Amino acid sequence: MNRRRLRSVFIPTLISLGVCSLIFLAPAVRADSISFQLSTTSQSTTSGGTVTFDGSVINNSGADLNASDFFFNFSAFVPGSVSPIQLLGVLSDFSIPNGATTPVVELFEVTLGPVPPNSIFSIAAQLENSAGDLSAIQTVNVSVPGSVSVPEPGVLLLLAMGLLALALARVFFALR
Amino acid sequence: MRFARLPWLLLMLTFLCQPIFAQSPVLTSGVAGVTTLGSTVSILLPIMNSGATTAGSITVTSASLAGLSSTSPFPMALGDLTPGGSNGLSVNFGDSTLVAGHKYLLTVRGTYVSGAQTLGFSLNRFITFGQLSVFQQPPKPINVSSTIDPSHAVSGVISAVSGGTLTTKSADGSEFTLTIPPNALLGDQPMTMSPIRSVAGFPLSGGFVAGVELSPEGLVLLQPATLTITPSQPVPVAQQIAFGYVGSGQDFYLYPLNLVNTVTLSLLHFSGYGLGSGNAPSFNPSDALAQLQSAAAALVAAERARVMMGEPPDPEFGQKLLELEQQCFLQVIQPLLDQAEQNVTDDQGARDAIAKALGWDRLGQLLGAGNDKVFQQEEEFIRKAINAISVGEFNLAYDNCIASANPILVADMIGIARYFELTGGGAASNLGADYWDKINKCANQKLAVDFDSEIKGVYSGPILGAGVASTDSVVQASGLSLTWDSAGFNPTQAAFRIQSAPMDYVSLSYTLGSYLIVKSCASVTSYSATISVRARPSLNLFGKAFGKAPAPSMVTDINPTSDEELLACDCDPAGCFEAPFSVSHPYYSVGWTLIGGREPFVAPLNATTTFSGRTGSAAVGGGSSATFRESTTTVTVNSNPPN
Repeated sequence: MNRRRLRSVFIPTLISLGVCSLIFLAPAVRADSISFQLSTTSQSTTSGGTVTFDGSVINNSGADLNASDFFFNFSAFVPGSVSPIQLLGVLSDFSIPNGATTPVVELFEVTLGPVPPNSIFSIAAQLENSAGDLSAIQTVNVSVPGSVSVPEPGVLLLLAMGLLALALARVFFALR
Repeated sequence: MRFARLPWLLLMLTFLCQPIFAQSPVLTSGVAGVTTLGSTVSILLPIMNSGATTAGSITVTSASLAGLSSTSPFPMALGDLTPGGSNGLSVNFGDSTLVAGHKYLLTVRGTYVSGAQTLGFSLNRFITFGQLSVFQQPPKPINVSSTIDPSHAVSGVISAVSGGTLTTKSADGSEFTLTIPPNALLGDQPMTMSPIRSVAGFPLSGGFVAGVELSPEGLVLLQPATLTITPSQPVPVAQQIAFGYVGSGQDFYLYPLNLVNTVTLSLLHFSGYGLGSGNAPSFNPSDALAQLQSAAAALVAAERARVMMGEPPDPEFGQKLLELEQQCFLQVIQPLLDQAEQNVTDDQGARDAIAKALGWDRLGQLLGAGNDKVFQQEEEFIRKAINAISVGEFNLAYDNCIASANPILVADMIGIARYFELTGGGAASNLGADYWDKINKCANQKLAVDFDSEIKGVYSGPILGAGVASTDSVVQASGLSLTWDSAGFNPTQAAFRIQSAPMDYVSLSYTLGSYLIVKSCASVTSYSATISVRARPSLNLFGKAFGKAPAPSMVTDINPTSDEELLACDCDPAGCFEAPFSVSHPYYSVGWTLIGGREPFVAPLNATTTFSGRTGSAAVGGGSSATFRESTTTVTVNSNPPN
């Protein structure tokens, strides 16, 4: 294998990996000024049931805030079947100093309407604060009994990276 | 060659494989604007699209504020929002259950179209409804220290039926006129108006101008009295600020001036009042009603300055005062009454709640809210709450009275009975037909009073008495056993009484003046006198307008027969002044009639209360005068187990 060909393969590959990591890992690397970490992103309930999503809120906004300075925006869900309700700051207000991560608290709940079995509902959740800072969007899933689990975006990302690594390995072996 | 294209393909894929939500609309909210108009809260919420694609056909389907549904019509179409675009959503709520200064979660739900899909959204934002009112802000009180000028004080007994006027001047020439209208007092009332000489720590930028202290401190007036102040030096209208405080300077607050061109204050209770000038610093009194008066005073001062200077009045002035009253009701009075109604065993809390509620009502009347329908509804709420609390308090007082053999609690019981009689509800219909039996049963216990008083007299003038320059008398009456008199089931007259009991002059000493008529007096003979006592239950439901309402007490009317001849001397027969003197020569009447007559003593049960410093003066004939000063008087009221 000549060096020229090797360069023609590796340079685009490295660029590709760099861009990929920039895109996929950007939220983590950027260290969002506010973020939240869910204890779990998928839960099951029955038709008409309610599930509560808890987790932690991380405040790196540069200001000491209270729980009631944070608001959840929900979108991309099926209207009529899903009703997300914020709990953070409603049940009790508490201080979240700058740089602090809260203990695990109830963040929001999702109530399903009358829905058929074997169904799954996704909701995009984003945290906003009173200064207008926005967290990365996270998707939560609520399924009814019997529903088929769907891999999360994070899992898909890992799968894609694995396949990419396999492909690169194969390229190396083929070039040798 | 085949593999050479693969990395570039991957590079293209990485751009294509961006998260799907990064290519979707992302709806967020902006800072909301909140306005209140009447009983409606209007919220303008910016809705923005922070995503990368257009959110089409945005439709708001509902909005709620802490679970309270919006009164606006839904669905509400907001149209399309391109990336970075925003639109304002205006929704209304009734504010009947909202409290200014509290945070409430606003939730807006709706749908939007992304691609070919109709998706749901739900935006949340905490809204602070209004600003923190003065009633919600932490207290930041100011205490001052006043010094009165007793030499310019004026005293008198004001008739409950016809009212009366006291007028005096301070040393600097400021004039004060206190006018008590008819039916402002529960009974004929001795009172004193003392000019304030100085106020240490006075907070207004232009300083203290003039003021008086009215006693007895805390006396509640059933009708507003007016205090007119004519300062010795004129103060520009825009600089005039009236003030009040409790006691001798506690919890300073601003006081609304009447909208007239004189410095006139309408008073609801006795305390210290006056006029200052300039601006007030940032402060917040401790007491809610003082907070209300201070806030109202600021509004009134601005309006008064406009009116006095010929400018058009503020068309919203009345509404602003009403809103202030409403805030106080919703944030202070109603919660206090609710709490008192729920916690029947907290009798002090109940008294405080009732005193505050009645004080709020009277202030509202004074500020012109009487004809407002909402105010009238709130008055009705207060009336019902007080009735409910009072019934519970009556029964609690009875139970405690019997259980602890504490006849002083009859004060609470009879006070509540009297309240129902005065307010037209009728005691029997509210408390039960046996309410008098309960009162009598509670009162059927021994109540004993000890009285011990020292009075000093100083004589001046051409006669100088009979050569006596001063006297010092100590009188005592011990173990006075009072009996309960229900006065024909009359709650206004029922009392523990003793008509007449011995009062001993324990000592009576004197000093001689320079113009001696008496050559020498080797000894003094004391004469016994009598004393009558009436211990009547205090009507504590009306309480003090500020601070905590007083605990159950007996207002003890003690009447020493002090006009009898007091002084005798075992003198040199050659030139001695004959003794005893006759009643018509009260030179040595070391007594109560000369320092204000029959004085009421508020005497708690099983305690010794000390009074001191009351003064009086009287012409004693022949150009002579006498001034008297009470050194100390102690009154002890003790209860004993029932017979």
